[in-house]
Amino acid sequence: MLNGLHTELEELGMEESQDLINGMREGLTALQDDTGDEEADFDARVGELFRCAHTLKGVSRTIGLAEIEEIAGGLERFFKEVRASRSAGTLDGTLFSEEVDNMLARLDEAIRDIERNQA
Amino acid sequence: MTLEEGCILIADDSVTQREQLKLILEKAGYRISTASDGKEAIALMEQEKPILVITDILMPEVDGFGVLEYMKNHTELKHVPVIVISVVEEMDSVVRCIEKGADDYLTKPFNPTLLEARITACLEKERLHDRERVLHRNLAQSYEALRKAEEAHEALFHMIVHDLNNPLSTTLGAVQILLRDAGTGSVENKKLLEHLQNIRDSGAEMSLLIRSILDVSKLETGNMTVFLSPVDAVKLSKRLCEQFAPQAEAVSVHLSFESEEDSAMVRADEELLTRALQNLLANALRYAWEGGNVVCRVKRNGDSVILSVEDDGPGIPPEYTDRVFDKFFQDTSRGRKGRGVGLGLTFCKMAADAQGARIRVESGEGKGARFEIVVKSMDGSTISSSKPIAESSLPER
Repeated sequence: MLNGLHTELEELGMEESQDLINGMREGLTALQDDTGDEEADFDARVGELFRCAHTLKGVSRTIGLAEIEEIAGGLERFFKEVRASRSAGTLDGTLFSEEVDNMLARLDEAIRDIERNQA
Repeated sequence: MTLEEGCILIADDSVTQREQLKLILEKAGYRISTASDGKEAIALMEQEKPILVITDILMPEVDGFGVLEYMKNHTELKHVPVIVISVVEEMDSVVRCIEKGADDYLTKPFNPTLLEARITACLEKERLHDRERVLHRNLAQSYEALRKAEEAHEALFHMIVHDLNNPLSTTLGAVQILLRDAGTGSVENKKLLEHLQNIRDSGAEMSLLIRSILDVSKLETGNMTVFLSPVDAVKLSKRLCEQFAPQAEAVSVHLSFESEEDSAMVRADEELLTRALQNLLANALRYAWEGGNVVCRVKRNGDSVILSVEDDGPGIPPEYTDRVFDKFFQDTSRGRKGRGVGLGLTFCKMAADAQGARIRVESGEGKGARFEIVVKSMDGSTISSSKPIAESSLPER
C-alpha cells in the first residue's frame, strides 16, 4: 500500500481526480446540449462518463481516498444502469442530469475536504 | 534482482496508475515505457518489442482486449507475457482477458512485493519457453540431418551390394570354369583368353566403382587436390578409346574416335579428366545395344573444347535428364540393363566442376545419349608460360 508513502504520487492522484471530475462535468453538459436522439451518441457519451468514473475509482483506491472511491463507484454503477434503462426506454433525462450533478458536487466537496485537511 | 535488457510496457489511462507502477518497477531495476491507451501501446510495441506488458482493461481508443488480440495475432508479440490490472469488481472482464491469452492479473491496490513476484514469475516462464523452442528447433534440425545421412548410407550400401555383386559373380564364374577345365587339362586357348578377359573387365568395373565412391567422397569434402595443367584432349581421348576397345568388342559394340585435329590443348586435371571420360565410356558401353555404336569425339567450340561420348542406345527419358548426375540416382526402369554405377555420373560432374569445366547430357527416349564435357582450351602460345596449379577441389556449387 502506498498510502502516505509518496506524497508526490498522492498529489498526482488528487490532480488526476480533479481532472476526471471536471471531465465528467463537461461530459454531462455535452449530453444535455445534445439535441439529437441518436442512440449511438448517447451510448458513446455515457460510455465515456462510465470510464471516467471507473478510472476515478481506481485512482482513489490507489492513493487511499475512501470517500472519493465510494462516490465514484456509485457513479460508475449509475452510468451502467442509465445505459440499460435508455435501451429499455425508461430513461428520465432530467432526473439523470440532476443525479449526476449531485454526485459531482459531492465529489468536489470531498476533494475540498481532503485538501483542507492536508493543508 | 537481475536487470532485464528489454523494457516493460505499461498501458493505463490513469496517469497516477502509470506513475505508481513506474516507480515500483524502476526501483526493481526494470526499464519502463508507458502508454495512456491501447492504440499508443500498440504503436510503442511496434517500435520495440517489450519483455512484458502490464495493461489496464478499460481504456479509450483501444482497450485491454484489443491490446491482447493485437499481440496474439502477431508472431513477434504472441509470446510476450501480459499481466492485466483491474479492480476486483470486474472479475469477469479479467476472466475474459485470461481466456484471450493474458498470463496473469493483479488487482488494485497493488502490493509491490506481489507485483514484483508475479512479474518475475512471468518472465521466468517466458525464458523457459524460449529455451524450449530453441531446443526443439535444434532437435528437429539434427534429426533431419541424421535422417539424410541415414538415407545416404542406405543408398550407398544398396549400391555397393548391387553393383559389386555382378562383376564379382562374373569373375568367380570365370575362375571356376578355368579351374575346372585346367583340372581336366582341357583348356582351349581361345576360351582361356575369353575367360581371362571377362575377369579383367569385371575387375576393372569393380575398381572403377570403388574409386568413384572414394573420389566422390573426397571431392565432396574438399580433400582432393586438383592439378590444372595443359592436357591434350585428343591424345587423352584416343588413348582411352584404345583402352576400351577390347571391352567394346566383348559386348559387340562398335567404338570409334573422331577428331578434326591431331591435338587440342585444354586446361584440366589430367587424372580427373581421364577418369571422367573412362566413366562416360564405361557407361556408354553398358547402354549400347548389341551391334550398336559408341562415338567419342573431340571438337573445338569457340574458346572451349568439347569431349563427348555418344551412344545410340535406349536413351534417357526426358524427366530424368536433369537428375542423371544426382548422387545415387537409379533409373530402375531399365530392367536387366538397369543402371548400376550410381555414382559414376556424379563423379563425372564433380570432377568437371572441380576443374572449372562443365558437363551436360543430351538425350531422348529411344534416341541414345550424348554426354559432353566442356573444357577451356589452351592454345599453343600459353603452354610454356603456364604452370600446373594445385588447388583444393571443393566444387563450386
